[in-house]
Amino acid sequence: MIARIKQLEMIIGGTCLLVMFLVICANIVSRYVFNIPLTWVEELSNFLFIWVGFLSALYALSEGEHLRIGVFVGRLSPSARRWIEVFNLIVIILVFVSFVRPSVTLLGTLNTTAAMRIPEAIPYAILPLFMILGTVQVGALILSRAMTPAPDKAAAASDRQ
Amino acid sequence: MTLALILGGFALLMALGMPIAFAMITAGWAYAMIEGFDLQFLALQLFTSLDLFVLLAVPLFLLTSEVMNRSGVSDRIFNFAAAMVGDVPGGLGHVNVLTSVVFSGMSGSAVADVGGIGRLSYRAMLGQGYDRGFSAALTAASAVIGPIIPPSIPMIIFSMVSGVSVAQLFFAGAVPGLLIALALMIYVFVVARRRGYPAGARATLAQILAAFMAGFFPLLTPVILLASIYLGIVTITEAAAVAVVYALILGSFLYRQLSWADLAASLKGVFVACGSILILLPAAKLLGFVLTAEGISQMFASGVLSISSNPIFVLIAINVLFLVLGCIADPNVNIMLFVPIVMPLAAAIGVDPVHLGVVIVLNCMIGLVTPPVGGLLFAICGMEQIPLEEVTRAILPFVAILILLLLVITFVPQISLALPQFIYS
Repeated sequence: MIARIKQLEMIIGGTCLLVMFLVICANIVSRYVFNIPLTWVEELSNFLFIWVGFLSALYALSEGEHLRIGVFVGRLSPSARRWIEVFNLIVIILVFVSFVRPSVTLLGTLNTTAAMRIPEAIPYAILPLFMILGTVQVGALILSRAMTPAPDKAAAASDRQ
Repeated sequence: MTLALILGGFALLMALGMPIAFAMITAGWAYAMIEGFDLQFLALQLFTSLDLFVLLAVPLFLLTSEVMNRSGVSDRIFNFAAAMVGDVPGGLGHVNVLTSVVFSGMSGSAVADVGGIGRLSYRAMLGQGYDRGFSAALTAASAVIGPIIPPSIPMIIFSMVSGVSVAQLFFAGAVPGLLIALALMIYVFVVARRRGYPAGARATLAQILAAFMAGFFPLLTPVILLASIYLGIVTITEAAAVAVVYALILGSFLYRQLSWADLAASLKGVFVACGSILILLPAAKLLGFVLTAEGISQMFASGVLSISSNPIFVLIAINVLFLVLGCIADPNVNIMLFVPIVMPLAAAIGVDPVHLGVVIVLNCMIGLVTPPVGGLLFAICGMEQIPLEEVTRAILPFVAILILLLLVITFVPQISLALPQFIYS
């Protein structure tokens, strides 16, 4: 399930990236070749970029790719490290959960966009999506950390084999 | 009181190894909870912090270096550099530095430099019997040049938080970047003489010409980029898109090394790289909101100025602050969080913000090669399986050289400012 979510994030995010690049190019061509600046390009590409930002952050969350400072916890025992990580994840999931409702109600307060004249709620929908997917993905991380046998024991077991 | 609680909690979460971005979001969230701010307002901040057209240049510059790395451009640049400086004592060491200079003109990130062309130079050096620690240290130290010479992702971030023109920052980095390259090459020359590192055979004129022709189009990338920004034909973001198009044309039509699968893999690589970079901006915005609400930058400015308002003292204080921060966290995080805090201070003593940008970015980059936690050291050690201690010893002279240059660049603003002033006057 998480693998499927991550795959979707990658596909949608990669597509956003590609389309963002293509519309920026289209605008340069249109402006210089046809003398028609495309006014909607900046707005659309900004929105695509924002989606890339949040989707890639979710992806990196499950991959454990986010920047962190490892020097202090690196000195602790593996099991202490594991419980600290679970603690961190619980804090993060609390933040995600408490943002779900406000980010949904935010959508109701928005107007239409300046250039494309679409409801602002469409691009801003990434916010509740980010909070909900974040909750699911961090929840899965907590479960997998809490369920697996302590890494020190697991390591000892694999040493014996 | 609230502020001390929030900052203490934030420091604790960072020490506990929580991802920095989420520690910042948590700090902003906790402040909103305590002070009774609406979370809806914070959610809005998360979105608008990324709603800035110049930021789109970040993934586009990453895409350029991904495509270049997959098109065999690295080999061409390496051969070009080898033909140019390979016959000087310590030849491959100089090649390592020169390839970093050339590659930095098409890439905005130091880690991309180490991972792409840096490894190529490193392996070539090992093959010729160079000391492993020295080779790895040189590879990391020369990658520092990447974000100093334009284009540069940290400078885009600096421009975002300070309001300084990206184009001016880009041009201001050019001369300091070349100066660093020169200093590193002098050091390589001295070490090579002492340890008897080999010089390559002198390339014949025909060979130099052939290498130049092979490398000509990749070498043109930074020229196209800077010229189109300078002439005002395109914005920075559009220039980054043009660089991607150029890299794609080189890779697929001219060199015929780029397949659709490579393009997909490049997009994937950029997506993954974005994951750890972009979320830092909304996160830093939330923490920055706390710092602004509590008036930290005024407190900091008046605190430092009450000790001394001597510009030399203040500049050294800023340098020490960012060197220490650079050893701890990522350049983009440091710039996002701390540049707004030192800007009023720098303005109070009359430092040019463009000059300040170059100094701060260089500080953060030096942090990346300073043991024990420098990110570039980890990158090269991880990729090539080198024990960290070996590189740690070898990097120290490089760090000393870089700090010396930092002082020169700090106290002689003209090194940074002459070029942008000449171009934009």
